[in-house]
Amino acid sequence: MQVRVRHSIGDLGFREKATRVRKESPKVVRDNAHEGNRLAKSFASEQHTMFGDTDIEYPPSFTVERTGPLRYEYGADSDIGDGSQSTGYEHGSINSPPHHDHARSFEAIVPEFHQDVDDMLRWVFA
Amino acid sequence: MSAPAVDLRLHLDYWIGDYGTTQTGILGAALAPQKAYRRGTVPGLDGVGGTTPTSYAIVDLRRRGYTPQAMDRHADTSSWMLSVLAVGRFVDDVANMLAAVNEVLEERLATIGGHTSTPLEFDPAGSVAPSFKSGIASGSASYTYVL
Repeated sequence: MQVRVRHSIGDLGFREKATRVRKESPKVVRDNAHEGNRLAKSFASEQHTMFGDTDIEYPPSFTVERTGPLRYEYGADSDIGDGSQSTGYEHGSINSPPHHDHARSFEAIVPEFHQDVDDMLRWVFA
Repeated sequence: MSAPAVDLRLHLDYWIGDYGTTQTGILGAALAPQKAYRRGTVPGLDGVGGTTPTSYAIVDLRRRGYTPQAMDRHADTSSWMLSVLAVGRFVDDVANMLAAVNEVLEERLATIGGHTSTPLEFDPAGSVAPSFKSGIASGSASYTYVL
C-alpha cells in the first residue's frame, strides 16, 4: 500500500497573500522614504530659511531616489544647490552647531516605518 | 511616568563637569591635557576672550526623539546623543583625541541624575572621520544612550 501526500500552499490562499505582500511592500518603503525626506527638508528649511536667506539653496537639495526594489535613499543631494555642504550643516563645525536635519527625520520615521510594515502585514494576513 | 533626567545641565555636568565650566567630568579627564568645551565657550571664538587652544574639543548634546518604547509612544525614558568635535593642528592629533574619547565612552554606563544609562553606543551616522581643511584638522564622534 502506498500513501501519497500532496501539499499546496495555494489551497490556503497563501499565493494571493504572497502577491499582495510583493505589491504592497514597495509602497510602504516608498511612502516612508518620501515622508522622511519631507521631514528632513522641513527641518532644514526651518534652520536655514526662517532667519535669513543665506542658505536658501540648501533645502531644495533634498531628494528621494529609489536604489533598489525595497530600498530608497533620501536627503541632501550633493549635486544640487547647497547639498554638498550637508556634512557641515548636519554635523556642525567649529563655528556652527550641528543641525541634525537628517538624524531628526530618521528618528521620527523609524518607528513610523516599523508600524507601517506591521500594519501592512496585519492587513495582508487578516 | 515621565522621562527621567531631562535636564541638559545634569548631563553636561557628568560629561564635562559643573555645567561645562570647570573642565572636569568624564570627558575632561579623558582628554587631558586638552580641554572639552561647551559650544560658545571656547576661548578666542564667538567673542569669548583669550587665545584659542591649539587642540581642543567641543561637546554637543541633544535629546533624541527615538526611544526603544517609541512604538507605544510612552515617554518613560529619555534618549540622548553626545557629539564630540575634536579640533587640532594635524589629523593625527584629532584621531588621538577621538581615540581617547572612544576609550572611555564606548559601552560606558553613565549615571546621570541618579539613573543608570544603557551602554553608550557609537553612532556612525553622527560621526565624521578626521580630516584636514583650511589649515585646521577636525573630526567628530557621536554616541547615543538612553536613561
